[in-house]
Amino acid sequence: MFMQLIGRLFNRNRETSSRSAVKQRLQLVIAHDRAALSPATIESMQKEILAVVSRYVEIDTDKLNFSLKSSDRMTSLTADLPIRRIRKTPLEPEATATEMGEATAAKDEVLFNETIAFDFELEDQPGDQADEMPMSSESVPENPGDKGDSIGN
Amino acid sequence: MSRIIVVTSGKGGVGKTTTTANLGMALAKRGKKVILIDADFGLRNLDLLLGLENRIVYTAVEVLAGECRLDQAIVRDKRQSTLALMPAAQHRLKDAIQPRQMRQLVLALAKKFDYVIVDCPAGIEQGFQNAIAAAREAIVVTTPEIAAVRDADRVVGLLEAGGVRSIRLIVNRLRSHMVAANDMMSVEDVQELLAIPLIGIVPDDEQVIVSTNRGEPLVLSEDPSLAGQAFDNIASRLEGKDVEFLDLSPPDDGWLTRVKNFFTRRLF
Repeated sequence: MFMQLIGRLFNRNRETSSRSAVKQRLQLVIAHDRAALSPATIESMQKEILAVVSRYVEIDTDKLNFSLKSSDRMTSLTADLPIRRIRKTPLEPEATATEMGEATAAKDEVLFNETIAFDFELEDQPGDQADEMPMSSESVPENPGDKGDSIGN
Repeated sequence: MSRIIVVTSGKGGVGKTTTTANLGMALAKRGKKVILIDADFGLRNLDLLLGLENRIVYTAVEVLAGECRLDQAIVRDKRQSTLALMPAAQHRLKDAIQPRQMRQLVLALAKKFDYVIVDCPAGIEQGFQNAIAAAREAIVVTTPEIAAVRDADRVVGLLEAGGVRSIRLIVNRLRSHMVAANDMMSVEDVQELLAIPLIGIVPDDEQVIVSTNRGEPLVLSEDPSLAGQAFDNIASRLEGKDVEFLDLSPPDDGWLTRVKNFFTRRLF
């Protein structure tokens, strides 16, 4: 009892309380349940978004982050896409697949250090997913150290 | 017009049946004509919590099959004459009846009673669809635990899709000591996640087990325990009265607890 108290006094990290841990986990899992997108759908959506954006700018694929969050029964998809360079001439749609993620920047591209943030909101339509299994939270690739932030932002 | 309310939760074991039994009894004590429908076909329990298990002759299934009249299946309570039970069949499965039939049964009963309260089975399959078929209002019961809250959120979505307009939340089995120590979600935490209006907060109470052992809902007691008072207050709120939520903050255990609480509030 006393040791617990001492432990609490010296451990100021909010993450250690099981109450905040469960809240964070629920925020994430509820957002996925509400969206009711299958892991495969999310992955192909990510690929397509990335493909379109990559035609215009070069994305730092190591740092990109897609996340779902929910508030007030509204779910939104947030994509953080850190930009390496802006392409002066956009790539043709067909070329995107091969060019994507490669660091073969042409000389005339401008160095850039900015992030595009997309916010897509979707209304809850729970009726459509009555018989579908909820997807796992692992389906959204996240930077391991960034997990807390991606929920809150 | 009579009120048709479904008590549901998604997850099992969070207190749906206890809630149904206590709300029914509390409303009957106020002179309302109440019928409780056990929609948990194959795993009926509401009769046990009400202490009416020895008086069941016919069930909803026999009524729907035309094997008995509606009033023959209704079990009247010995203690509160305005309370009645429509039992579920114990030997047939949940898909023995269809939402359309359940709707028919509920609407027939709604003509005779002020309140029709449906005790929904756990899960979101056929039994759930039956239970919500005729409901105009829903009470979602959850506990401040991860699985219960997740399932409650699924159920809220399905209720909205099913056209149930009024959906209200009961947070059951709250342990205020654990909330104060940041080891359990608070009512506010749960409400923030689920985003539906709150109708009741019920503390974790050993008396719930004692009352089910006897088949006497908590609200029957002359001097009800804290959980009994909480259920009684929910009945008042259903009746449209503005009743304050019980103060469930942990009792003052002395200076050490005060110091501890001070630090847990300020620092974490």
